[in-house]
Amino acid sequence: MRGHTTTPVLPGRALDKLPSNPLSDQVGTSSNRNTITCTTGAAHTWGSYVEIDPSLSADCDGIVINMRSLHSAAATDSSTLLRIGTGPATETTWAIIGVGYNSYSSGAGAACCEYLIIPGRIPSGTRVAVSAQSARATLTVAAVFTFLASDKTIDYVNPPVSIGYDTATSRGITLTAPGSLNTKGAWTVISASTSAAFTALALGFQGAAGTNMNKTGLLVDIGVGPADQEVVIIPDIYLMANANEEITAFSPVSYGVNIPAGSRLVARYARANAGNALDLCVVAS
Amino acid sequence: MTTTGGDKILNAMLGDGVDTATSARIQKSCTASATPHAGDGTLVEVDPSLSADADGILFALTTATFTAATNTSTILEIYTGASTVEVLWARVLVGYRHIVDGVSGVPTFIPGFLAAGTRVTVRARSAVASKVVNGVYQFISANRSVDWKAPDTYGINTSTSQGVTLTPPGSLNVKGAWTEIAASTTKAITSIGVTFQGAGGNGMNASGVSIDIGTGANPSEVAIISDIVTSTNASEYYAPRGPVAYAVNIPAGTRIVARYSRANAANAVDLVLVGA
Repeated sequence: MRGHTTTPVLPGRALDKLPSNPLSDQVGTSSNRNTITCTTGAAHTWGSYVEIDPSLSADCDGIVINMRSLHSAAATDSSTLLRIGTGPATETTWAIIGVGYNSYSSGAGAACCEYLIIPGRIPSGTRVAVSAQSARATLTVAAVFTFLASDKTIDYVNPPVSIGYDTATSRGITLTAPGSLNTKGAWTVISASTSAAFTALALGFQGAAGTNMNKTGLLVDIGVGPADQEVVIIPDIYLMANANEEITAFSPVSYGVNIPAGSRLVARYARANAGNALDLCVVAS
Repeated sequence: MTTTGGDKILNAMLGDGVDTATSARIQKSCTASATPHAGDGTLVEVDPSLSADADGILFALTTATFTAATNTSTILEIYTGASTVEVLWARVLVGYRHIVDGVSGVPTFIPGFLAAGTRVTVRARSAVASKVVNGVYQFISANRSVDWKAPDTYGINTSTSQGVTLTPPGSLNVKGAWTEIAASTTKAITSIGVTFQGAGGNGMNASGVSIDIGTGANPSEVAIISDIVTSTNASEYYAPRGPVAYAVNIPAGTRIVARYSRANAANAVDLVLVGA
């Protein structure tokens, strides 16, 4: 395997490091990559699928999602789920992740603070589409989708496993609120037993329907293990909330991991202000 | 032989720099010299002693570095070692950058191995006197599945606080000629961090720029990372649309090149690569 030594991977740690090169799919004509826009339906109802790519030019091992729309508003529950589908119309769900409560600078040269890498394999020739649902009716959800070339050194699956999303609320699993400020709360179970071995996780954090957030920090741990024996595998993912109900990340919220099938997957967090809460969706491969 | 990488996603961060009193990671601030481009800014300690081996640094700006109508070319220099005997580890470009709500756009990732116990310091040099560079430094835990070494920096120009200025394309939205970034890599590279700025420009336009990284002898270059897309802005900043560090498979002795297209002739690119 290119670049890899024979040293065993540490428990809970990744085999992986960096994205592979992007495919040329969705390269635009203006030195850009195309922005794809979809619209949510009525509250907590999926909007129509919009085609991202009619036919992938090569096998893909993950999708980089860089949001180009704001899914947050002061004093508003902006919980929003993004759904990737594959195949012809009447698409099959490939992955679902939370994208509400995001931060975004609109206008020319607009930027989003973070990107997600949704890990998973999609074969060459596959049609890929996107739809969204939200607590807010007819919300515009726009993003640049970049497909990463598959090098087949990582055994990503098709489709990946989406964990924790709740279409009734457009949220993920609400994490147990910490009892004290700046102290990690109790672990919350994200998956009682993972359905497969995972080498990568994408994390979709939202504000647990909160409408009174505060500009302070949050630190999230991801762990594995049985109750009372949880072990942190991703420590202190640093998020910043603000009074406009936005959550921004200081790192890509996608990580390489080494989680055996049948693992209990958990999360917990600390916060500097009681107005901030979190829910979490996970896409794993 | 493939030139694409076997890697996908960053590993978890170390706990270094976590401030449990505020549920945050600590920001560090360094100030460039009062003399433009001078390298005598004060070194600022980022970590007194790494808690474990690290495979790279993820740097998220917390204050914008762009200024409208201004050349904000800025180099962040990372050093390792004890006080007064620090050794340069890597240099990256951090000028012409936008932030949103106190967090940078796509964070800069600098690949390379750092041993547990290492002291890490930083300083800046810039076209702007006394330029302040604020940010959060997160160290990526090493898993030893990828044989990273100390990084090599390619393309830096300390006299201008820039990298190599890429050849301007002859037409809009058409890739320009390849520009050489490294004539011959000093060792094999399995990961590469791509950092870029506005080539000293002060009249940018809100449109797009698309960058390719390639390898190979002239005129047989081959793109190995295609269409790293960034939006640009009339206030002189870049906002990348995705990762700016990639897994690669580049043998020692390889010529590395880059080229770009742009939607507006006012936008230009200078570029530095860090390979490990």
